[in-house]
Amino acid sequence: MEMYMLPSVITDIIGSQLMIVLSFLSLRYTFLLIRREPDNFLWGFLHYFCIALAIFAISRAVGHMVKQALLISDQKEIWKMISPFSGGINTLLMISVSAVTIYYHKGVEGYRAIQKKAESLRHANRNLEKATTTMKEMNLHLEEMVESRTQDLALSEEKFRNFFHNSKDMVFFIDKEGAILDMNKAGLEMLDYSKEKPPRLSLNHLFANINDLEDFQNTLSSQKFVEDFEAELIKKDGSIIYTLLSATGIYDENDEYVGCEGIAKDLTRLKTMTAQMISTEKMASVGQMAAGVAHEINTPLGIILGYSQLMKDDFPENSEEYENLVVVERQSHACRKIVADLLKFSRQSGSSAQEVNINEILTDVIAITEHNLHLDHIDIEHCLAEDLPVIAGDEEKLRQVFVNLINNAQHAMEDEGGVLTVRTSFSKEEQMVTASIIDMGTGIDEKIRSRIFDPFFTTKSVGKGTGLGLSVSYGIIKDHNGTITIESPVMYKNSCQLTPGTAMHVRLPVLGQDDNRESTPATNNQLLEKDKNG
Amino acid sequence: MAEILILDDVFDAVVLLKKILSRQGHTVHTFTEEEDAIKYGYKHHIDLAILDIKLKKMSGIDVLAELKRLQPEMKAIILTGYPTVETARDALSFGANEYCVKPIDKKELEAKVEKVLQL
Repeated sequence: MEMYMLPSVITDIIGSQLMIVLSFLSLRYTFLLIRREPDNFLWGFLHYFCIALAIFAISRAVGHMVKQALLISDQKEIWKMISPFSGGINTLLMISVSAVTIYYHKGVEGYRAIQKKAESLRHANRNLEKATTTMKEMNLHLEEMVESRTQDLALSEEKFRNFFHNSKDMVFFIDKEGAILDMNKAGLEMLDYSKEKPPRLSLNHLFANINDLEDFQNTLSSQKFVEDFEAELIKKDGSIIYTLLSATGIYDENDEYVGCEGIAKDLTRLKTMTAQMISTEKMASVGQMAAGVAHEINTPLGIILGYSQLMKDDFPENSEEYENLVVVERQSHACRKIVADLLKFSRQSGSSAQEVNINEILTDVIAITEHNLHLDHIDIEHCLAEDLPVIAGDEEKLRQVFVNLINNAQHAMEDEGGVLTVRTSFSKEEQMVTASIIDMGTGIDEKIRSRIFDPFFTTKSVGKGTGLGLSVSYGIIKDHNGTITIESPVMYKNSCQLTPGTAMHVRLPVLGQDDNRESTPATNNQLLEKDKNG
Repeated sequence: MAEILILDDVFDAVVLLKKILSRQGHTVHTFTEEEDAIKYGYKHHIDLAILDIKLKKMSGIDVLAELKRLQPEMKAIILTGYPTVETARDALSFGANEYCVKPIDKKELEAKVEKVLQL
């Protein structure tokens, strides 16, 4: 080998070695790169390029180093023999590198296409995610909405349930046949069904009056509602309550009647109160009228009476004229008694107020009437409370009241006889003294009960009673701020059985211990005030 | 027998009383107008006045007061169809000897008149 060739030979050998080292360093770096991003096309390409380059470097560098070694060791023949292989391998490797390089843009295109696809997929994915999020949100919102609506519904339902259960009026639902599907507690209580399991009720059985039921149903079908319908309903025990009904028809989607819902208000108390008020007003107006009439009649009556008495003197006692005049006189006396009773009823005659012991009055009255009662086989049983407080009143008038009540009791028992109970009691809470006259007679029919205090109302036969006794008693007791109530049939004695008799309870307010001195003159003044007006 | 004055606004009533009391032997003067009765009282002696409370213009008690002023010795019976504690008290305080509620019985009237006249 020529010496001038030496640098190039050294350079070739060292260059070949460096080529191998550098190509493998490159290979390592590309390997690290693809390890980091295995999906990166560029790094992948570079890696494959470096592999090809490394193989080419080995092939070429080893080829050159073998060539130099063979040339230096003068073995040109061997080199000539293997050089074509080395050249061929190098060329093939070069071609593969070129091929890799040439297909780089195709790879890039493919990679781009894939990237694009991936991008569009990512986009689609993002959209999908967005949609999913929206869906989720919507779902969440829907849940909230459903929850809120359910809560509203529950509240509303509770409100209506409370209304249904707590209403003091009857609330009911009825099917198209008139059977009651549901009724609230107040309604069942109104009908007295509260303590047991409600039976299957029907409107047909509840209405006391069949005509009312027809009216109710006709109105409901023609107007689709019923407003303020007055109906009498039958309670469990058969008694009647007065109600004010309002109902609305319920129709299905085909406008077919399926039933109705309604409310009923119990008017029984109101009705009773109204009746009492009417009765009180009636009594007051009758009283006024009676007083007026009584005064007007009094004078001519006195003259008739006087003249009949005067004329009696003109005839001998056994003459017919005399007898006739006796009749005129007697009837005039009867009239005078009626007029006097009317005046007492209208409270126009004078009153006085003093401390009165009801027990003493009753003892007096019993003493007077006892003999008469015994004639009718009536025994008197006293049951007078000890230490009964005094009341403020007119002793004479109260005596008259009890005489009236005992007379009525006697009348009720005159056929059969029996026991007449006179009882007094004191209620500390109400500060009322109660005196009861209880008979075992025939009792007072429900139909006439509201009329027994009416003036001229009597069940006694003609000539036996004027029908003013109870009216006068009513007036007197009312004047004493008391009440008279009727109980018939009556719970007799301690036996829990109802007997047909009647109890008349007179309740009078007690004259308090403290206001004793004050209230007596006040009552006096009141009575005087009435006298003035009278 | 006694001189009796009767005052009532109802004519038939005074006539009746007059008849009853005349039969008892009394001299009876009847009036339906209160002024006439008072005028009579100015000039004539009266033993007993029977006065109704409700008159046409005045109250019987006012007439009583006037007559009593003129003749303090006069006896009086007050009649009324409207008995009240107040008028009873007034009648007695103005010197009435009896206070009777109408319609009055013949015998009752005769008895009361006799009783009052004997006072």
